[in-house]
Amino acid sequence: MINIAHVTANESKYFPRLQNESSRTKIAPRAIGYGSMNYHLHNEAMSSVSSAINPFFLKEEIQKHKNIKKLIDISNFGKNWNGYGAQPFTQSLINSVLNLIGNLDRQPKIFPTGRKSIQLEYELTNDDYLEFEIFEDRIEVYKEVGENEKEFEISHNAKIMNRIIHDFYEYKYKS
Amino acid sequence: MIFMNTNISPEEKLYRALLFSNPNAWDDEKGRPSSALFKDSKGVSVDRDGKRSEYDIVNSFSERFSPKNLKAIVFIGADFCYELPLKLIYRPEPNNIYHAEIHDSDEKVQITSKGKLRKLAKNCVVIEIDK
Repeated sequence: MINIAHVTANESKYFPRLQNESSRTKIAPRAIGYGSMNYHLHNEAMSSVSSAINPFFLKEEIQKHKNIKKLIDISNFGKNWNGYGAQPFTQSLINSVLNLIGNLDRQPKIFPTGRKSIQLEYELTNDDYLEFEIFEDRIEVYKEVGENEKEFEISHNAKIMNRIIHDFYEYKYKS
Repeated sequence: MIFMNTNISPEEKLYRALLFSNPNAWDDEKGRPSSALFKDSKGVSVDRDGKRSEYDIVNSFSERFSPKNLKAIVFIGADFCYELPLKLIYRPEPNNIYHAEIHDSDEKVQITSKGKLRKLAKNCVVIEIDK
């Protein structure tokens, strides 16, 4: 059994490449969550819960690090990365998404778009769907539950996003 | 000389390439593209079939993007776009007479309705490129 409860970002042998990548791409380690209060609270919470790994938590941690790697790769995109003239992504958008990702309770799938936004998706097996399209100045939210569709805007705020994500998953268990 | 009708008929198919940028708009788990593939500030660039065979269309994309860069090509029926509704505009380019664009409406170039974008992603047909 692996115990990752006491792994800190600076000592981690699991994520050295990500840290190297972050320094190479000028992404602030704090944006990823390393060294942040949240990251340490997160580690403390892990160690206090159990020395064994909660499979859900481990899956989320792995997905979070995959997502961070994806965002670092997206930050390296040049002009015309999609073959249809898409522009590169700004560092401020990347940092903003990294910061949000580091604070989400559930990890999404991440996709770059051709309109300088980054899309976060959650999809259930019954096709219910939640999307956050993150622009520099706003987040557009789209929710599809059964036949109902809803679109609205929020600001860059992980707490609000977490509330929407929890609502989305709770609905699944209620229905 | 090939003459294309400026009106795109509902029977036509509209093709779009998905490149191997890493990451890209491909959802590995679902085996289909995300709606992110159709999010473009200049409208969605596509190629009309122009009565070509699928083989010829795939070849033309391979020539333009190089086979090693192509992850997949997707297509959607023009009739489906009209039903959503979306605006289809024939916009030939000097090096591509089949080029067209999908716009949100007469007034809006960019497709802003996320419901429409998701329907495009869920209903497009995928041609995966053999390596």
